[in-house]
Amino acid sequence: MSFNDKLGKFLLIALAGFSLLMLIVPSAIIVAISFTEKAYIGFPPSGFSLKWYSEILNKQQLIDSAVTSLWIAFVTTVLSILIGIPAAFSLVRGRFLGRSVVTAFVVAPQMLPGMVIGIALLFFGAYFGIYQSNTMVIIAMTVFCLPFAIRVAMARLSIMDSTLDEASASLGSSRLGTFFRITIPQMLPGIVAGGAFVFIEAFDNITVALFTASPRNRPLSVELYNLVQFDSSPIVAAISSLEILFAFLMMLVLARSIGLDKLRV
Amino acid sequence: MQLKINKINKKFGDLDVLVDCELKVMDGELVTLLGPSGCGKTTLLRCLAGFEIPDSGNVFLGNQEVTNVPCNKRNVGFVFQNYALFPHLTVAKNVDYGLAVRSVPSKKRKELVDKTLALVGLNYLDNRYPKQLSGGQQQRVALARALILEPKILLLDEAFNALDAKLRISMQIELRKLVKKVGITTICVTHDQIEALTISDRIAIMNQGRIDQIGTPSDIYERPNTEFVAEFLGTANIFIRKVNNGVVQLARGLELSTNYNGEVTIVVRPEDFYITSENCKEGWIGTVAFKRLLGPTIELEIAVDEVENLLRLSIPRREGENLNVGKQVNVSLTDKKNLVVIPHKVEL
Amino acid sequence: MNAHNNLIDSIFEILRNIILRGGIGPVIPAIIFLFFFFAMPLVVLCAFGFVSIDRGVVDWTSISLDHLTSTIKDSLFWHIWWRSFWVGTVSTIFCLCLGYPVAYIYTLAGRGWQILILVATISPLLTSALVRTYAWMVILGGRRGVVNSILLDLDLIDRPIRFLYSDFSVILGMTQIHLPFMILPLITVLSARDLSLEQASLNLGASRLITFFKIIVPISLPGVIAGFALVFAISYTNFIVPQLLGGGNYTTLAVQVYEFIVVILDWNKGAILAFLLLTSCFSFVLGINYLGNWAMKWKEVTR
Repeated sequence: MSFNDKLGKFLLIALAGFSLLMLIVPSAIIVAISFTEKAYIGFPPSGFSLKWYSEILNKQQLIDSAVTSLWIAFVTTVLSILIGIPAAFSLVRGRFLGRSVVTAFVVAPQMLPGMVIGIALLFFGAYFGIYQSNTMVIIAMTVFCLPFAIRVAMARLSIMDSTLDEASASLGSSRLGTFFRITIPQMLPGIVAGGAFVFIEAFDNITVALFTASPRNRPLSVELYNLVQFDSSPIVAAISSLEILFAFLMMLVLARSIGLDKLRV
Repeated sequence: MQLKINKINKKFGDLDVLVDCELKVMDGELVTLLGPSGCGKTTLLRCLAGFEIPDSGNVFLGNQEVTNVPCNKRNVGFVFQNYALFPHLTVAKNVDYGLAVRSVPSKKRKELVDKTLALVGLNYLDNRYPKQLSGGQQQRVALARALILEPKILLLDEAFNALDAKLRISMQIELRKLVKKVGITTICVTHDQIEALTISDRIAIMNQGRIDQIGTPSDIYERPNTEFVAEFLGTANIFIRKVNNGVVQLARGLELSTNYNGEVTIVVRPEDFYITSENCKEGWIGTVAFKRLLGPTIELEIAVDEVENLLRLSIPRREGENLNVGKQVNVSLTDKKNLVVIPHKVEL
Repeated sequence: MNAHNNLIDSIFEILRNIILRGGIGPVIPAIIFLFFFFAMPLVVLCAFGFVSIDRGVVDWTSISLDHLTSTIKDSLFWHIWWRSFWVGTVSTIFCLCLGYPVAYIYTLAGRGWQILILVATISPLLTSALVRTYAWMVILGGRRGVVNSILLDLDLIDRPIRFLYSDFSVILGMTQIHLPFMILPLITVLSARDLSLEQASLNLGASRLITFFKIIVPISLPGVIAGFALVFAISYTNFIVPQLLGGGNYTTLAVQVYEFIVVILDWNKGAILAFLLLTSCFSFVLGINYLGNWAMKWKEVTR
């Protein structure tokens, strides 16, 4: 290799290494800091304790908001799957006029920033005299997340072999049997992956929630948004670390279901 | 330029891909590496181009050893199986690419591009993108792109695979004419025996990483060295027989003398049989098991009691018109001289 | 018993036919849901920019372009817009420069490194943007910030450096937070590339560096354009990062939208700003795609 080639190779590896560090290190620092003994954030963290984690349990407000967020994420996931999976079937296997227009329409919310979806629903509700509530967060989150669920399911469906259904039927299986033994199991990785993605997004998305959540019953993301700005104690780092752990668990679900390299944003 | 390959070995993991490959190619000669898929022919070609570095052995171009010269310093032309034309460059820019990276003055480049495109008959397409060309045209661009650099040798990797059957033959003939006109030493890789027979001066048959036999097409067809070569190039009827006192009995009344001992393989080409309806003293008696018309010839399969395999025959169409399946026939040999006797290696 | 099974079977057959064979049927719930909760609210949002709202009551007779014209006549608006634009552009360019090498190395790496790269790319994507912004607040903070603590401990500086609340911290945070959105489309395109093109280029005498810039980069242009448009759009409309890493006095167009709607409660102004944010964002994305198509006209040609 010539000198230029070597220089290019060095730069390439250096830049890639820098990016990877940049992706990993900030989260690692937060996790490290969350174990500090001191009452303030400092680096390097001193000592090792779980007191900031136990502190979370003492704050009823945080527990409540976490429960609210889990509820929102759960309902959003169920709604997205119930609406999204049949839609994906229709968009991949159905033959009807204007299919591409419909496809473009149902994935359109993904093109918009979450903020705009949140504001639009806020205004829309206000116009009819409906105010911010968990229901509004759930509806806004479902609008925001539905395209993910539909796209993951569509990707899964398009690699599924529809002749397998016919093969099963021709081997004497009942319709019911075919649907549960062939169609659903094949579809399952797509449902699980899409569900995991929707769940985590609905759990920790802030841009949608900030405009639709009611001030009295706030989800964790909105609570955290205030803490980040006004609370300098390591408890914020402890909450963040738990969210990071949660993200890793969801990533394991994605890796086991469709494989990380199949994931498209 | 002359090419010499000296005892090349290459392993991928535990797999021996190339074993002691030796080959010498004269200046201006066109040699084909022929073999089934997985025999190592493409790896050998890639060693010549520098895409792979052999574990041991040497490659010489002319008098210069190039074994470890990186692929971008070798000046060896390479035509890829899918042609690997740069999709974002026009035909002219594709052909110009090698000159551009060498910083040849632009006026000279233009001249050379025009000349080379004219050589392959494509100068009217210079502004098109590769996607706009037919398979045959793409192959010619790939050739022009390689030839414009006046490479020391030209390497083609399954270059006719992507073409449909009719175009393939005419492109093969065209390629042979072109490289002979340019006078460049050329190595082709293929698994298609018709292609090898059409274009080659000499053919090297490869099997499991080794070169089994090198020779002109008729050499290899008429005098295969091994059972593998006999079966791979053309159709062969194989008989395994024991030698008794320098004599082998092939069939009833058919004996030949040989210098070999032990077991031998006797190869009979389908066209070396003939069929008579009269009772004949020498040869086989059997019934027609299968018949198909191949244009000018008819292929027959004859079931014979004492031979384990069906005999495969090829006879002129008019002689076989009445030979329907189930008919009893006598089969004999046109000339014993056409037989090939291959001694079995003594297992040590 | 048997009759009972047959009944269930036939109900399922009907359901299955609707789901598997049916045309537009199964997608109708999604269409209705999005029509009511996405399309109509979006219309209302845009409409709010062109009518007067008084204490939450909309006066539909007051339709005018007044809000729009007064906003775009305001030089402060253009000042803020310009910051949104250049901060978004710069951080997108950084994302490209940092993301491309990762995606390229991914295609050359062994399985172990590939998994590491995927984990490093996807785990931040699943972590809340808020948490990751918070990480930068901790890292870049004042005396107790990670960088300043280290520099002070090493006696490299006497007083903490002010990293936070500047263009620098906003761009750094945005770049890091949006990097995965650049890397993933690039990995998709680069993994699918034809390796024989690079070998052909080397074979024709080009160095590896020239091959990279003359062959690999142009071939991967579709991924570059997709990643660039996506990352620009989310950087341009991000208001969390400028708010938290830029500080109280740092405004972008997206931050203004938030402040007018949530803090100042001037929904007219907020709606018209949101409308302008959305339309300008779409214009830029269309522009990027148009430029991309122009640069990739070789992809569009047919025989």
